[in-house]
Amino acid sequence: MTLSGVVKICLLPLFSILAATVVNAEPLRIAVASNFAQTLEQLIEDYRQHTAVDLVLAKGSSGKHYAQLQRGAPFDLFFSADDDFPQRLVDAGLASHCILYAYGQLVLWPTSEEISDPAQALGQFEYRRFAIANPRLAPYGRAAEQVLAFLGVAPSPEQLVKGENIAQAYQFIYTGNAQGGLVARSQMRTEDHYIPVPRHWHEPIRQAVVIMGSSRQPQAAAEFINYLATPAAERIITAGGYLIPPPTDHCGGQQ
Amino acid sequence: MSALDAGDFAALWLSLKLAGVVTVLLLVLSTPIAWWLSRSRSRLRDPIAALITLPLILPPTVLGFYLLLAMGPDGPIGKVVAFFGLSPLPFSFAGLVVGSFFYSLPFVVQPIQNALEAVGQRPLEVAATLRAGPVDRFFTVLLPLARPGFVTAAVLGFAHTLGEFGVVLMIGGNIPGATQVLSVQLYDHVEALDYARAHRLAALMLGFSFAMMLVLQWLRRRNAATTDLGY
Amino acid sequence: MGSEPIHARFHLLRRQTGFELDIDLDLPARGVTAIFGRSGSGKTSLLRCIAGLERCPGGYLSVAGQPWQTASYSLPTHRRPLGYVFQEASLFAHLNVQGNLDYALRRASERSDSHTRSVVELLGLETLLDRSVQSLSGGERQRVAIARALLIGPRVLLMDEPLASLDDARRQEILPYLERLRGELHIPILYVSHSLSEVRRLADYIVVMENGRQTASGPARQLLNDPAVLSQSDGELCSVIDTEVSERHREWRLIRLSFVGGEVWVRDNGEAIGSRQRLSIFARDVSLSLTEHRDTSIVNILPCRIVAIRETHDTAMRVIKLTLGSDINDNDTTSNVLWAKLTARSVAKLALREGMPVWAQVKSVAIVR
Repeated sequence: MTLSGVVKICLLPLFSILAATVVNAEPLRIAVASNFAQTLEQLIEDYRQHTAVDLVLAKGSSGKHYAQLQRGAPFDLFFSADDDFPQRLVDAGLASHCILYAYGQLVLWPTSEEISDPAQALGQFEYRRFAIANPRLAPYGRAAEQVLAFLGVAPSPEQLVKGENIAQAYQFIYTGNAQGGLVARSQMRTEDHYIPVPRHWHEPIRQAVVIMGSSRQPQAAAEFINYLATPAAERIITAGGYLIPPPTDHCGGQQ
Repeated sequence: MSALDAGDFAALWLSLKLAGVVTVLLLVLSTPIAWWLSRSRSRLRDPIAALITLPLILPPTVLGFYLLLAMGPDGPIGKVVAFFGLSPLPFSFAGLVVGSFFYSLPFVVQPIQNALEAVGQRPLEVAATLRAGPVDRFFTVLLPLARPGFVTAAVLGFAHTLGEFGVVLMIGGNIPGATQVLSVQLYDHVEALDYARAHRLAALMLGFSFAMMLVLQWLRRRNAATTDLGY
Repeated sequence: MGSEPIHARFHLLRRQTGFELDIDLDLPARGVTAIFGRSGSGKTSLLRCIAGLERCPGGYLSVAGQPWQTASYSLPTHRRPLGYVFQEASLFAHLNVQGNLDYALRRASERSDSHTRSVVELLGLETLLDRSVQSLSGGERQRVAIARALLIGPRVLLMDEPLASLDDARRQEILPYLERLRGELHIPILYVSHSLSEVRRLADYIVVMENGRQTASGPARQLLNDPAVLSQSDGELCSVIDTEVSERHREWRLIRLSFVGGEVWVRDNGEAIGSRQRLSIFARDVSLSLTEHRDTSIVNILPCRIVAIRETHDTAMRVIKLTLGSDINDNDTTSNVLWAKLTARSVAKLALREGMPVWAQVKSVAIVR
């Protein structure tokens, strides 16, 4: 390969970025909680068929996104795994339009074929190690704790292993080191055996989105949020393992 | 510093205990490894040296993930542990010891190896001409002469284990008193936006790490002043 | 100690460097044997093979009648009763002087306080015992190293260029101690050196090495007068004669040194009557005449006979080998050799030929020290 060839290849992505900027102005930059990233990618793919807007994703934990957004990280939208962080940003005057986009669903995983009642499996609690997300840090962890309390199950500290997030809780079980746990339905693959936990056993896992006050394209951001309420978008969200929040509930709702 | 709560104290104590146990284990087991690496001409030498050095550059979470797999019921370490009828390693203090051992290994092996190489063959030859057998030579010549390396290794191993985070995060499971060490506790405080408690722990760790490195610098300078001699 | 010689046979080939050591030696059971040669000639390798520091499979070594290495086994170094002095003073840095000596004493075959005292005294260490190794001069370090090697109670003392790492002043400081060793020890010393002046001063027996092989060996008196040996160093041709102090002339401050075939007068530096002294006479300081000149300032005029006249690489010069004494048979093994270096013109003018009796005028004589 000639030197100029190398230079061209190196510069190509740069040119395309510049070109995109010229045509579409800036892309919408979205900070998204890891658990929703996959579903959001599918949403964006669908959304691009209708508009020319470009969207780029930054995945990470809600807490880290929050800490960075507080200090002026340049994002247009923030899809949190809860509604607490978005509400705080709104309260601090850093964001607006806090809207619930999904309810997270807890599942008990793995389960054997014959068990269909999660209360039965959890009531016996024959787990040496049981994985949940850290209730102090993760909404799914908080909900899992509520489920155990609801059923009156009190595992010993040694039995209950806590992942820093729901992904790590999943990992503990996946590697066989925990025999079961309460994880997110969105993590489940089709071949997995799991049982959804009834909604009323825990407070809803409200996942909210906000438009950042520093956004230079609040219009485009608002349009994307409106898209989330379309039937097509709701189908994608449901297929991703989430529930659609009822219109009666709202950001920072019943705590 | 006065406002550390019970949970923080438990985490601090656990971290110190972990670092202490791991450091002793590392010193004992790294010495033969470093000795072999400094003398061997085997073809396996370089691959093994590279393997031991890997944690220096590998993200701790990668190491932690593979340890989680290896220690799991289907993993090689897990099978060995099960064979001997021991309780599984993940989410236990013993598991943290094993994980931290591998994680801090290069920090201990390398200073010892450097020290052994700096001592060289000659003092051992001298000792041999003075009727000292191999074991005698090791304890009366090699160990005393390589002592600065052992001290550096102990300080680095201890400090590095104390500050370890990624591996513990992956294989710990955050069990208070068993696996919830200082760095994880600190991370939790930060993630939970409890910045006041986070500050206290962070300042503690910062101060401690600084003190350790200061001691190390001081030892290094002192050794530089006294190790120049008749070889 | 037994009077059995040291027998050493080693063959060593280093493939990386192509260096080959190929040695089959018998060395005297007493006195200082100098292993002499240029650097890279294999002297140190030979010493290391003897010490067992270098593995040399297939070799053979016996010392004082005990086999240290045979076809079937080889004693590890720490089982060989030897003392070893390394080129650079290899004292243990974590111990002080006393600690270094104790290291040997604790492992010595036998301990006696009187022996310890005499070794400390022999090497002048009385005032150094509490010092740290780091505070010693190079010469002091080497003296401690020698004492340490002696305290182990060796059957043979191996010294690998013990003076090479020292400057000239330090060398002069240590040489008298080495001479005392030579006089007082009753074990063989193998002394590796590339320095002709050290060898001249200390050796009783010499092994000359070149490219890993022995090229000459024999009593020092013979070999030091052998041009083949001298060519190993860049030193000038020089005769070495062992003598005895036979008379002191207080008024002139001279002493007379007697030897087979003659005597010389040299400056009196307090040498004891009857003590053995080694003389060196450079060939360039010797001139020849056909008659005994009386009208000259030169003190030492010795009768001798021409043994050989040799050409040198300098075509203007000739080297004359002489036997000292007018009535000495050439084949007498006790006879002393004197070398003279003359111009070819003088040789022709005086019509010098082999067998001719001549008078050697010696401009300068030095006691080797």
